[in-house]
Amino acid sequence: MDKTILVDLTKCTGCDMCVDVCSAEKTGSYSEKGTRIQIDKDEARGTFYPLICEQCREHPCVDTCPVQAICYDAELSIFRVDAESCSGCRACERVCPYKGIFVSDGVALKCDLCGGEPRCVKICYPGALRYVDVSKEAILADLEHKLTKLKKIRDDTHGQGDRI
Amino acid sequence: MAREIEFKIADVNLSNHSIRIRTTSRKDFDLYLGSRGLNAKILFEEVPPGIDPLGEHNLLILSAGTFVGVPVPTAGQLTITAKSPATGLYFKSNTGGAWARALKRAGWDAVMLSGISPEPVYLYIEDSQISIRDASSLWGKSVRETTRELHRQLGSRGLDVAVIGPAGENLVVFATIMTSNYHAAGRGGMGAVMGSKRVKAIAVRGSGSHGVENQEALQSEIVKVFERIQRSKKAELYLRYGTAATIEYANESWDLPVNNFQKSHIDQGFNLGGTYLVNNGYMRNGGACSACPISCHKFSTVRSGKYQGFSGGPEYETLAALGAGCGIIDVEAVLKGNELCNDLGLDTISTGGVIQFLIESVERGAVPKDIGGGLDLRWGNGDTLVSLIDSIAYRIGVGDILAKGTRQAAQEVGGESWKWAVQAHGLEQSRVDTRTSKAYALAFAVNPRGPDHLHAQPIAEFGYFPESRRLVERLLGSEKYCDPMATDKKPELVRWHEDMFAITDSLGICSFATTTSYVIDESSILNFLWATFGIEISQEELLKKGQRTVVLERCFNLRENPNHQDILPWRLMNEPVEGGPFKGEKNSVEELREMLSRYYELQGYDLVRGRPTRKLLSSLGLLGNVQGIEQVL
Repeated sequence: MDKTILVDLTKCTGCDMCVDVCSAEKTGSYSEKGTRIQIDKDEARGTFYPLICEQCREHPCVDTCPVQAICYDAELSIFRVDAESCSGCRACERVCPYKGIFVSDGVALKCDLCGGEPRCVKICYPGALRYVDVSKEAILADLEHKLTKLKKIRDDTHGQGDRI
Repeated sequence: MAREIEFKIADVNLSNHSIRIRTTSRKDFDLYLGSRGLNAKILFEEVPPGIDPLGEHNLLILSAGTFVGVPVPTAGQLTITAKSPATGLYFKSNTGGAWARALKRAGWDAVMLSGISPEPVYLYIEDSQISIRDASSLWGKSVRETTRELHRQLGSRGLDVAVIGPAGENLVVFATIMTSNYHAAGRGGMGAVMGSKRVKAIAVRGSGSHGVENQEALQSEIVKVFERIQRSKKAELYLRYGTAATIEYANESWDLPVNNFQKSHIDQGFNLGGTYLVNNGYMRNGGACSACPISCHKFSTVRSGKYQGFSGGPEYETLAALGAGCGIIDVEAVLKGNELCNDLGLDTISTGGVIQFLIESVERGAVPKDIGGGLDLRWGNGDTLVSLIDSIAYRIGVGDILAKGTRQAAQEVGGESWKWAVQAHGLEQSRVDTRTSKAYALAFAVNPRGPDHLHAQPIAEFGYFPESRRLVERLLGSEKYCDPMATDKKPELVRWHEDMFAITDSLGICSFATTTSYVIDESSILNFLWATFGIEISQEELLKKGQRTVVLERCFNLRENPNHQDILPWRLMNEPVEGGPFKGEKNSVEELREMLSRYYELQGYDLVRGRPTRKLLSSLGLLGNVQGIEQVL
């Protein structure tokens, strides 16, 4: 069955260990470069959102790419970036609803599930990243979960927006 | 082949706005491991005795731990070192957040500040570029406002900021330096030292990378530590409730200092604890420091009413100091107090301590009732707490006296008020009742900072958790030494905790991992050293590196004051616990002397005065490496 990484917004603590291991997997050393997962942090409000490709079926990135650099990989049933063809134009960055694809040093970077054994999921101690079978139920439950969390954060910081 | 390890330090002189790059030799790693140890050496060599902590000759050294930048679990810590304006002695203050990691990514191990800037400035470090910029528009702003403004000006992604609040600017002797908004280098007034140099903030962004010798070995040791965390009940408490969980334990076992250490238990104290805070929606799980799976850091909200607000924390120490210590059980008031301390840049422990001193002074008639203007200066008033915090940070009215710390305030109040000034060396005791925990009593007495828990945390003496009991058995031969009321073998227990804490800080890992929850032990650290740097050393050598730092820190204090003594606050030495199961207990001179003499023997100090001997300094390699160390002999 096809698999994907889903993000649980209630669990991420912003520790950045996923970023470390992803960059090490892709570049050989620990850094913020070359990583295919980033954490959008708003420390003042205490929110941490992992940004990673969730391998969505709508794939606007693929549709918008002017040079068809995002190609289907039948083995894992996902789309990958062909670094040779990518022109670094950032069109994909702008349309991705998950902010899960980002251009770094002129090339779009996107999660490729580490060939089926994603390192970030293994290192994520709080369990904010889950490697799951793709099903309609799983995706719907995930979206529901994200909505609830976003509403809760809005409530938590209600009226505090200006001060924080 | 072990790699070359050198530390790169940005040496910033504020007086003439010059910046020099310094690199250390491999020897500094071999002797001190980095960060806290390295800072102690620099401070000893470059801060001459007798100087004014808030003058141009003091240094403020901010060092990222040696492991920071690679995913060694909990390795995100920063050690800030200076001569303290509160104590006039050596001080190191430690904090987490993500600042240390950003500094390392920018290619630096440390930033040291000397001199005094003519105008308020902030530093912006972006990789190898360091600029000193005008901060006149930031001066006066709160911690969050300043952080937000710098994020706005410099761009948010990858930026982290260490900042002082108004309290630091106004030289309150217990002002903090805050990183990542809510992480405090709280104790000892490091924020006042930064304020005296007129540095409002240090913003850092880095795009560099860190390699390790052996990624597989690192990964496999990470997995082992994860497994230990998973099994640890203490780590689970940290994850769920943060340090706030300790309130309930301490209150139930009559160990919670209430009303300035007059009492050990407070009715409805449960309402200040982690369980209550989480179950009632005040506190939620939150942010971890870099590379930390334990994630003890929380966020808290008061949704409505006069105490409405949002902040990081609160910690046990805050709930105990601003809450129970002031006789307050209205948790919303305490959360407001916590928010204000964080935002104005005040240490919650000392803030609580000095407010308690004031309330007791009023209670005993040592100061007039109206000393605070119209404030109701009795135990248990939340509005008073909130309003005093503000007046301390801005030094208004009675706040100006309190801003000098409890020791100085007692001198101004006069009479016998020193008896209820619960401080030693000028530092307010943290919220541990040392009368009912003897290893803590010894650890606090020998702490070069003064009586607090961040030099050695021998929590194993309580034997609450299996990890604690195993440690006590390993170190002392039997679990029977898990007895907080006994003095037997406590010097041995404290010695291990001191060395381990020094190693922990120097490497940038968290003391909650190596002590208190005991999920990272010596062999784990050795494996991380091997995986990261390809270095192989023995366990004995590792602990010796810790001891070297501990001894060097003491040497700084002995040079400042040849009569420096290992003492506890008067109240704990002389006034017994008032009620409960430990009624009548205290820290007597005899009891402390007995533990100290064994401690001195273990440490290799002169047995009468507790001073390092030539033999000790020579065997630790301090003689010949640290300039001027022979002055303390």
